[in-house]
Amino acid sequence: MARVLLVEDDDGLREALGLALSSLGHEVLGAPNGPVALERLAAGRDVECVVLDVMMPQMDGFEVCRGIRRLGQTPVIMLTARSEPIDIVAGLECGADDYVAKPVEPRVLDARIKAVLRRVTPTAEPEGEASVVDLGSVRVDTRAMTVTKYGAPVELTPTELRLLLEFALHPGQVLTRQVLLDRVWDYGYLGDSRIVDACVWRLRAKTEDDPARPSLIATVRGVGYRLDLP
Amino acid sequence: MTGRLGLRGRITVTVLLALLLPSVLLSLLSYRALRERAEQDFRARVLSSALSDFTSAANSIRAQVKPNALLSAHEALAVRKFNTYVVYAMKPDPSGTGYTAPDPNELPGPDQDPKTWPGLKATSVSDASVEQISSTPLRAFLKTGDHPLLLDERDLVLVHPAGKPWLVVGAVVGSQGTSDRYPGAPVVAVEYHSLQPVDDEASADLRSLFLVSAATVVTGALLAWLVAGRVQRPVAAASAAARALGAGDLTARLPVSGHDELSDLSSSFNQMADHLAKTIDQLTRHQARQRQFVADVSHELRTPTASLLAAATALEHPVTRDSAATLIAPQLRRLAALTEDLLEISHMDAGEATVVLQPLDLADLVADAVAHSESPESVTVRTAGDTSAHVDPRRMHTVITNLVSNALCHGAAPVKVTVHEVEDSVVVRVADSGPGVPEELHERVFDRFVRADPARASGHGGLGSTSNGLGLAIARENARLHHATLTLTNEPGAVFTLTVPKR
Repeated sequence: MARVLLVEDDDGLREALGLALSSLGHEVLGAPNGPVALERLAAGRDVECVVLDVMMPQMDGFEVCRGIRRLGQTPVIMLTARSEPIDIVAGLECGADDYVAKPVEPRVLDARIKAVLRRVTPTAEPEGEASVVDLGSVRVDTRAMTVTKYGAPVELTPTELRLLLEFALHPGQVLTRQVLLDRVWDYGYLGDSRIVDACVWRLRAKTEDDPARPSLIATVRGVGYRLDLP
Repeated sequence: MTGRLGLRGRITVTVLLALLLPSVLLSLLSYRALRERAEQDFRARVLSSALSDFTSAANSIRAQVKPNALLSAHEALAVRKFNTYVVYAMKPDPSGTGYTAPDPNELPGPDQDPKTWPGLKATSVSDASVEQISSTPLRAFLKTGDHPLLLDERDLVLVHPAGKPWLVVGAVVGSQGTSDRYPGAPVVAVEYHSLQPVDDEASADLRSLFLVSAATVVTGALLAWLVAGRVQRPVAAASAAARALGAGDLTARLPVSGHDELSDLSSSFNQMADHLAKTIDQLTRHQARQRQFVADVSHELRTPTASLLAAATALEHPVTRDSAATLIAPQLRRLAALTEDLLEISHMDAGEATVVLQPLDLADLVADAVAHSESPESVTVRTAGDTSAHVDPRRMHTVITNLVSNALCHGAAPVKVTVHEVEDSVVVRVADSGPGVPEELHERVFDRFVRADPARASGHGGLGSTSNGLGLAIARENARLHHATLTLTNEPGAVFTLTVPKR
């Protein structure tokens, strides 16, 4: 179904989780540590999703995640042994798309992988409608799935792109965190709204002139976010 | 300070009361002494002035200044304006043998103007009545004959007509002439000297004394207030510090100055606070350690659990079933080993670990541990001297097994084990050929869930207790139960040295 790179330092867990994901239809590549994983990702662009353990010797998951982001926009799901909020936030802020806590039910992981991958697939837009949304300095092509800022292409992860599209398709409308979780992350109750905040934060960093004073995506305190057209 | 008096107020009030009574008593005693002295002075003055008055009156009668003896005496005394006086003549006794003294009640009051009172009464007085007169309030000593002016201080009489004190003094100043009503009858002059000025002076003195007393009391109270303040300030500071300490500010301390009881209190308080802070710090650390331990345990449980969950999922698919089946046993062994180790540690923590000592050759234990290790061929054993000691076989076996396993797992082969006798101990050295353990971790490797090697042990999921980070902790705890020491050095590979006392 998808080619997954599983980065996990515990041999037993890597092997077992690899088998489980294979049995659920994924093609699994294993990597025992960060450097090996980054090497594999640099070697070819065929990996569709990375499942990344946080607690690893030599190079921890956060560092590996930043390395992955330097290489490209491959979706990353963090595999955390500690579900402390600080670990989750740190993981999301360094560019991860999602996270699951150990011990993870393989089917949940499978669902998360599928959800992340769906974001890469473009949404079908009705024919004849304008495919380019003009947001001032930022332009979003909803069919080609490309984003430009002052004419220069902006690299967005699938999750970030889906999030921006969601905003672009509903300008001036307040989108609650729950709605965004449902539409972008594709799951409801499982989600943690901090995932939305972290992703909006990253999106602002890439699209806003001054991320500290956003002009595009406004925060509606206590409710959610709203895209303001210029 | 609360609504109550407070320490300072109480000290002040106590001093105030303590000063008040003696001051008042002292004032009253002083007043009495002063007053007596003033009265004596006054008596002396009265005596001398009366003597001269009466002399002058006697002279006046003798010189017959007026035809009437009473008038002559009056004339003489009238010149002395400052006195209130009366002049009278005694009545001849009806028996004709003497004269009677005047009835004191018939005498004019001293506040009566002598000019409006003729005072020319004559009475006769007998010798027998002299005593009678002297016992009356008017103790003018009456004498007849050649020495009419016998006067001494005893003749001064204090009377209190209408509540006012007067000194009364009298004398026979002459006898009536032939033209008088009772010729030959003695003429008596009496002077009244008011004691008012003495009283006034005494009251003024009393006022001054009371003022001095009041000043003393107030000054004393003021000083007490100030001194109490000096005592109270440190006490208040101590109370504030105690409150702060009670509210959780463990840095609250008191300044210590001088060598008095208050500085003793301050240093005792500080010692208490230090002790308290230390205890709380220890408890906090202990709690943090406990929390860390629980977090570590749950983390350590998560990986095999996750592996088993994943393997269980893989078992459902025919393609992955066989591979998955082989993964289950090692993970279960890992869980079982962890459970055993946790149980062992919890026994040790609870102080329930029992040690059954029996004589045993440690070389045999080492040989057995090596034979059951992961790769016996990578381990060489050398023995020298008498290597038997009194040990708990199971526990000592655990120590040696953990050390050998640790060397194979975290160090590098070949591993050299030596067992030899040093004085009263048996020393077991386990040396590996790895890079050694960083100096700063030498003590920490014996802590629970601490792994020194950068690659960690997690790659060796099924290899036994050493891979969960508890092996060395258990080894050291067991060594401690034998009063043995377990230390780590780098030479340059990691060398664990176990020194077991023979008895």
